[in-house]
Amino acid sequence: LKILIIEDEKALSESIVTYLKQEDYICETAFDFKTALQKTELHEYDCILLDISLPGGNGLDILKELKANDQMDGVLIISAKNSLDDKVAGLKLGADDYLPKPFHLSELSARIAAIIRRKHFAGSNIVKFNGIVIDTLARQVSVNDKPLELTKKEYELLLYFVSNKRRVISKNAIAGHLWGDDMEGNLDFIYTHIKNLRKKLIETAGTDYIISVYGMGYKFTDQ
Amino acid sequence: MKLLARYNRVNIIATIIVLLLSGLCYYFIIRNVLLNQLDEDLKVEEQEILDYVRKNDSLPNPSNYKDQEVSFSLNADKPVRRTFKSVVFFKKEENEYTWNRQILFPIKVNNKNFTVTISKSEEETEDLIQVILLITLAIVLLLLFVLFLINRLLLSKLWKPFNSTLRELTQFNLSNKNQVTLEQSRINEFRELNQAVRIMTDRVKQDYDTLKNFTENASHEMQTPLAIINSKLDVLIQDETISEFQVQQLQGIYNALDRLSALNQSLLLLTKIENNQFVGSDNIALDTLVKEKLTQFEELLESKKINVTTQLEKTTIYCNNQLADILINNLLNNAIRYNKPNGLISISISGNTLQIANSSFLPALDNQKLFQRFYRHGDTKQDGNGLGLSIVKQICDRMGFLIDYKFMDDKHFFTLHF
Repeated sequence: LKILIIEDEKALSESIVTYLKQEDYICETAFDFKTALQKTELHEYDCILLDISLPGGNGLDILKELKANDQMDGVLIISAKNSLDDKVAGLKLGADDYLPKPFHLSELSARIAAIIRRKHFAGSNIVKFNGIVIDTLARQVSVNDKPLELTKKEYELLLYFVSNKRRVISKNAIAGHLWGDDMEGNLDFIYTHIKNLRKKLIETAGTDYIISVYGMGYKFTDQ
Repeated sequence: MKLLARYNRVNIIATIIVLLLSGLCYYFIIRNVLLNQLDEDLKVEEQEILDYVRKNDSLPNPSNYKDQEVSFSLNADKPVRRTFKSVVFFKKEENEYTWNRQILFPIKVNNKNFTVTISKSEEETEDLIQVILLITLAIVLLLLFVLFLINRLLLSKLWKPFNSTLRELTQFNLSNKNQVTLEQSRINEFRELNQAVRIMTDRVKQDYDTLKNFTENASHEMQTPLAIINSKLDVLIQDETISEFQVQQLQGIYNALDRLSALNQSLLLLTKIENNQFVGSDNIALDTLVKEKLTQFEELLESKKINVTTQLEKTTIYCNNQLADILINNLLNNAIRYNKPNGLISISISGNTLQIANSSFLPALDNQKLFQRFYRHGDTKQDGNGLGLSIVKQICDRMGFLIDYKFMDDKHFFTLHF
């Protein structure tokens, strides 16, 4: 799966590439408007991360170009301007999602996964991981063919874990994903949800997927 | 006191004093002139009597006609001195006092001293003076009235540019894009005033815009470095050789980063509200919004074991969607964040008020400082950036709502009037 990262901040771009490579994505980068436009014209990508303010032009113009050429690339806008107008404008122009900076890489990864799912498996949104099967359309989960009943938050948590499998996700990122920005400073209650999900997975599959990393985060793993 | 009123008062008092004094002078001068006239008439009569006596060596008959009376009286020894005087009489038939002018003069008939008294009524004189005084008074009143009118009309007209400038200044709003519109005036003073006002408002606006843009740009510029730090941390924690000690340090960085991001978001939000970037309003079902928000906060409420009671009438408010969301969000967030374990929150909507009351570990808050930016009670822990209520206030100002706070029975009450 090929991903193009259009982001002028090299440090940020580099982190994104490092993180996404572990997910077996092929990452290309563009640091300015011109390069970005050239790359999108030459290749097709499964997902394009698009920063709006770029040296040499506005990211939204690249989006317009893509749509004008009927390119089906998934587009995730990452913008420093957390403004509703930008979001609305971006989505209207055909972007698939909008993620304001700053964001957690795990969040970015989950959003990319969701876009690619929508683009590639239209109608059969199935995510599989080591015996776990998640039907993202029906929002149903089964483990080793046994159905797993989850609450809404547990389901979101599981999907988030699977999208970031084998990687450490900080508690801050999990809280941000499940409750948005409103809960800053209140990370304690995510324990309850993780504890419950973990218990259900152990009961159904007999495997403990979730590893706690020194109390700062969690890792979803098949080992 | 209005300038006009003060000017009018001084002006009118001065006018009245001058007019009264001149009226008084007038009265005395005219009276004097008229009395002299009477005295002249009396002198003529005197001469007639003297002539008669010289010719006939006897007194004429005392005669009364018109307003004139002549009488004679015999003086025993000394002849009387010739004098003029005003005497008051009581007239029986008319039942009133009247003033008469008299001349007394001596006359010798057959070696006997007589005193001749000729009286003439002053009534006519009095009447004349009265008429003159009345006319004077009428003129005074008329003059006062005209003066008052002129002052009022002319001065109001003269001050019009000033008043219009003043009105513009009171309506002057920094966040409003419109320029102040100042009336042209031919009066130098007002022209200078308007010029000064224009220069001042322009400069204030410019400074304000610079400051606003600065805050917005600064917040925006900060997002990217924040994003970089965040991403670097996310990559760093993937390292499997990382030690527990290092992880603890990283957790500290994460938490601080979250706070910084939240602070930045809040500042940006405040600036955006100030800059009027939330346009468009809708009718929003407030009761539904509160219920939705409570569902969102469910886990938080449960983890603190907070008991929530609600009494929500069906109510709609006219408000920008996002702002309404933030408003309720911040109020509820505070009610939960500063609550104590096993505490309580009661929410009621009735009429056009929304009241949120909560127990708390905090004592009464300072009503003066409550809505100021970065105000936090000394007992609060580090979480919370002190901008939540500033944002609430800013939204209320923008949407024309009122918010007030009181502390009663160990509970904090926030009441929103819409």
